[in-house]
Amino acid sequence: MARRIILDLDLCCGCRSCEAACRSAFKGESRIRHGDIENVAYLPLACKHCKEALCRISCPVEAIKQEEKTGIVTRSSFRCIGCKSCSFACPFGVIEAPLVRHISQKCNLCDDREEGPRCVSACSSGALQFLDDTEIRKLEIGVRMVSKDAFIRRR
Amino acid sequence: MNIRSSAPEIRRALCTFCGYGCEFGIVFDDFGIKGVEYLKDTPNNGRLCPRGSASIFYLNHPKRLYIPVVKDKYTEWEFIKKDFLNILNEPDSIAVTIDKNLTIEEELSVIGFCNKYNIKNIASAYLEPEGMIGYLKDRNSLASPDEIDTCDFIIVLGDVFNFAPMISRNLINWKLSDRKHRLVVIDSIHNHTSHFATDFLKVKPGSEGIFMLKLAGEPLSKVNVEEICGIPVAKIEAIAGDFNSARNGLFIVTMAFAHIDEPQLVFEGIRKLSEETKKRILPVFEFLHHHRLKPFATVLELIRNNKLKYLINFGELFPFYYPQLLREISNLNIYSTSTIRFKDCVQLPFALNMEKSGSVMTMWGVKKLYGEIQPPSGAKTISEIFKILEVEIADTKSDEWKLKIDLKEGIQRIRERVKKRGLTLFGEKISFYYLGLLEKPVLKMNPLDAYEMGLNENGLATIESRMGVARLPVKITNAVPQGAIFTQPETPEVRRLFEYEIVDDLVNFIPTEVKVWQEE
Repeated sequence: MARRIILDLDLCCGCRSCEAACRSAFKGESRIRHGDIENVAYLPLACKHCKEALCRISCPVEAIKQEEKTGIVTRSSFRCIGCKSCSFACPFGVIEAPLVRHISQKCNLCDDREEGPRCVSACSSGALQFLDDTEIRKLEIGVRMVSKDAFIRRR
Repeated sequence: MNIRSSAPEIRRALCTFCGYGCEFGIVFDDFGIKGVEYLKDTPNNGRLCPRGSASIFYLNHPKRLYIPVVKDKYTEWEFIKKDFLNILNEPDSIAVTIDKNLTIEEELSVIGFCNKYNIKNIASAYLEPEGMIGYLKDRNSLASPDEIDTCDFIIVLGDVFNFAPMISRNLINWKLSDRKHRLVVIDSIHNHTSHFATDFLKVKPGSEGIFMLKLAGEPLSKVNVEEICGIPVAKIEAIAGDFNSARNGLFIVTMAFAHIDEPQLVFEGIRKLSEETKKRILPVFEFLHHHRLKPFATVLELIRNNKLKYLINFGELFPFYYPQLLREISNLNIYSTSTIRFKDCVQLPFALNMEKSGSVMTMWGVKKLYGEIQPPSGAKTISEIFKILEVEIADTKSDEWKLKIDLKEGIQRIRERVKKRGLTLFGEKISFYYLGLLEKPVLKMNPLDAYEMGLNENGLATIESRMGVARLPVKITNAVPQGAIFTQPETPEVRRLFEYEIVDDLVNFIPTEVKVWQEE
């Protein structure tokens, strides 16, 4: 069953360990991005590996493909021509617009690693988890959060 | 002939970039270091902060030193040896300093070396304020991070999540496990830890020392605490009372470079709080000496009086990491071990702690290093350096230094600064700015200040202090109070902006008045 990166916002402390882990694995470039809602929350932005991936559909040279079994959307560094179509097409803004070594940076869920993505392994507070659909349904993400106060959002 | 590359090999290492003592693996292939592996069977369960993941950049740093350097030219160990043995004939004109990146065993060897050659001036050159924790009377009574689980009330001073992000898991899980758990965070800036606080006390920048003394029950009868700290006295007293009556209270303290004015007052506050309330203290530190060495200011005094000719430093940072101090020691002949190449000094290539065997101080107590990673060819440990230089070691006894803190003077200095201060630059600890490897420092400022100075988000600002000039991109944020600007002093270029003063035999890097304008 396809597994995805899930963020438990209650636990994220904004240390950016995920980004550092990605950078150290991919020669200084991070494929997980980071948003900061000032004084409210930090949001690591990981690729969702969408069922109908717009980045894949928009790619003019078919450099981005989706594996049937796992649903992982991967980018071939050989085929990529650096046209940035994928970064404009991504509805979540996860693929960064600036090119690195003339190709786009696309998360492949660290498919070279049995234990799963490095960002999840490294996450210092345990906010990022690598789960399948049934595990995700069991989770009560966001239930603990009390967001009455824009600043102090924890119970 | 078939040429096959061997399978990648994982070697274990204890992370020495902060005192949390995480364990992880370094992956080696035929071409050297390939990456970091997050090992589940470790006390940190494979989790690692940005510094741990960035360790491969540091192990493989392009400026890594492999060969001794004299006056910016590579040389042989033999030449160094000759000079080094000669200077040992004048022990009174030598000062030996120890800074970061030494194992406990190496620290002992250096003390033994000084005893053998009658070198009396041996001091700590680790000048970060957190180093003061080492001077606490009873270091064995300090708490470890696993004690967080048993608490019902925790007070945090500073941004603990940025000093040691690994502690976040202990603290967040503790906070979420019971609604009654109370977390009070004290800082002058909205930080990563304050997001999780039950009460966040945003004190006026630089006033943490006075706040801590008041919290510890110091009368401070002639001091207007509310005016200086910006927090009503009744509120401080209420928190102190609740903390005192808590079943199991814990005080977590972090002291970042130039973030706090008069950090010795914070130290005194911690000491008093632990003694009088009998509550445990958990200091969050990057590095701590095993011995209570003399502070560097005692050596600086001798340098100012022209009583020294040579400075031998064992460690990795000093004196290059504090460029403002280089002016004072420029007349000395400096011998320094170093992992990275700098200019104008005799430098001996040095191994990182991760590449050594031995033990180090961590927040969990003394931990053993794995010693599975070899230093790059040419980089030496202290024992190897002593062997090459043919120097001997005597017994390793040394006097323990006690800090003498003048509370009145410290309080007076804070009072004066609060009244006179213009736009002031403060330091802020952010783990992912580590040595500029992951990101370059930025200048954080209040929107009103930015508007007055005509600065835009991401625009380049010039910052000028009495110590130097730097150019940094601007980040406009409400997290920063008006009149104060914050930067991450993780590179020598930014560090050089901060002034220092000698107080109670300590070199204190202080929040510094600056001028800021838009780069044209």
